[in-house]
Amino acid sequence: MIYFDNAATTYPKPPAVRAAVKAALHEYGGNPGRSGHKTAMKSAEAVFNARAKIADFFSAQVENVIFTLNCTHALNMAIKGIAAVSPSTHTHYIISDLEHNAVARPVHAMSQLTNISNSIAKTYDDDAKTLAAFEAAITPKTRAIICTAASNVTGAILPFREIAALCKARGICFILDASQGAGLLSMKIGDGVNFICCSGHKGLYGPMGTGLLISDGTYALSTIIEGGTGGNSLGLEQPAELPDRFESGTGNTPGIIALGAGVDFVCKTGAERILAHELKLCEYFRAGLAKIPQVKVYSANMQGRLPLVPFNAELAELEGGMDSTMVSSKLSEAGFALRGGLHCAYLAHKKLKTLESGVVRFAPSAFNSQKEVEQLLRAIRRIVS
Amino acid sequence: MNYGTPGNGTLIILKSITEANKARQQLANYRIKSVVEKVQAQRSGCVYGIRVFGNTDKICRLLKTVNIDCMEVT
Repeated sequence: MIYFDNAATTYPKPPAVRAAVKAALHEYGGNPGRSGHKTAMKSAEAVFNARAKIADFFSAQVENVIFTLNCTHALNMAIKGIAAVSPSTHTHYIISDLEHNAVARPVHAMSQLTNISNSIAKTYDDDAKTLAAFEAAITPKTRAIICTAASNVTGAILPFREIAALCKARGICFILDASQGAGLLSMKIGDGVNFICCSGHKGLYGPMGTGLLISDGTYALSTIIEGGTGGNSLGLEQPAELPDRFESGTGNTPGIIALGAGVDFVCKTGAERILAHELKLCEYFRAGLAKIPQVKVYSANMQGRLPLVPFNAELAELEGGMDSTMVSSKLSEAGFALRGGLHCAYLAHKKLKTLESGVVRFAPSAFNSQKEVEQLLRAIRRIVS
Repeated sequence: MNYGTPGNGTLIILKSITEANKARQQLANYRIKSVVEKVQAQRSGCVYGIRVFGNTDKICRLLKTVNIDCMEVT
């Protein structure tokens, strides 16, 4: 199977990441932060080392790096936690019209409660217009703006640094969904970016079951999960110390250690180099698609975009109609892994007017080659003819 | 290996195991050796610190520069 679904999760993982998981299962079997025997202490040191690497990568303090199950978990902690700090005060959220359901659904769910509302800011190809849309949506009750670094459907990169600066100037919390873009774009905590929520298993090349909530320490969050943290077992209050406060229960120790290896891979390879490689593959793919009349591409070019190409194809059995799920199914039968459908992104597909047909998403990684793209293009030509 | 069993030196109790490992890393930058340990005596839960073998006051001042407070020195 030739894999082009890296916006869902990167595959394959670098050899060092696979080795780290294997080594962790063999050597780091103790539960970190739960005991004082050498096995547990060794695990704790390995987890700390991964945490420290990630802190350096995002320019954060090590204790402000919280390991989560995935980005959805991190986003829920940030979105719900910021409102719960002062529940009697009205909380207004602003999100973009490209947000993944990991942002849109918790914001929607929270907005069903009293004292909480939200607005959706329209995004444009022109960053200045996007920024103006966010600014226009701000009210005196706006508590947080949550925004993706880039769309998981179109690849469009939002002006998140400028939005963060706007938030800083207005005293509004800014939560960045960095799932698409971490490991490719430069992303640092600070300068208005108060929280980074991130998948460990996409551009950071860690295993599934890992995510990050990184804070700059400006805004407190209430916890949405309480439980055992190892220390302070005597009381019923969740401890205040970070990162323990937000890491109740046993974490994914092998995943965390391997995530550290993933970040090592990105640092050693170079994020800019990975981005350039993937963009080149996208340009080659787009050039090939342009020669297939039955194909529709949903982005004009790669300018200001992450390496993603959303497309669809007319199928003879649908009398020229398009069904992205059917296209991706046929491609899977032909040996190619691409995701068709709505990509957990209702808002983005609503904006693209593709709620009925969905799109097929081409998303290469550092490990894909031009030869593999040529093979995919041949398969698409066979499917549509 | 940066963890061990109780021995000589002084045990500085810190807020968490993360902080203990951070302290160890910081002290290593100054070539000060330390070992992360769990406090053996029964406490309110798993309590961790670093065992150091030098001037404790100097070490605590050094840790304070990176926002690490020595909670207790035993």
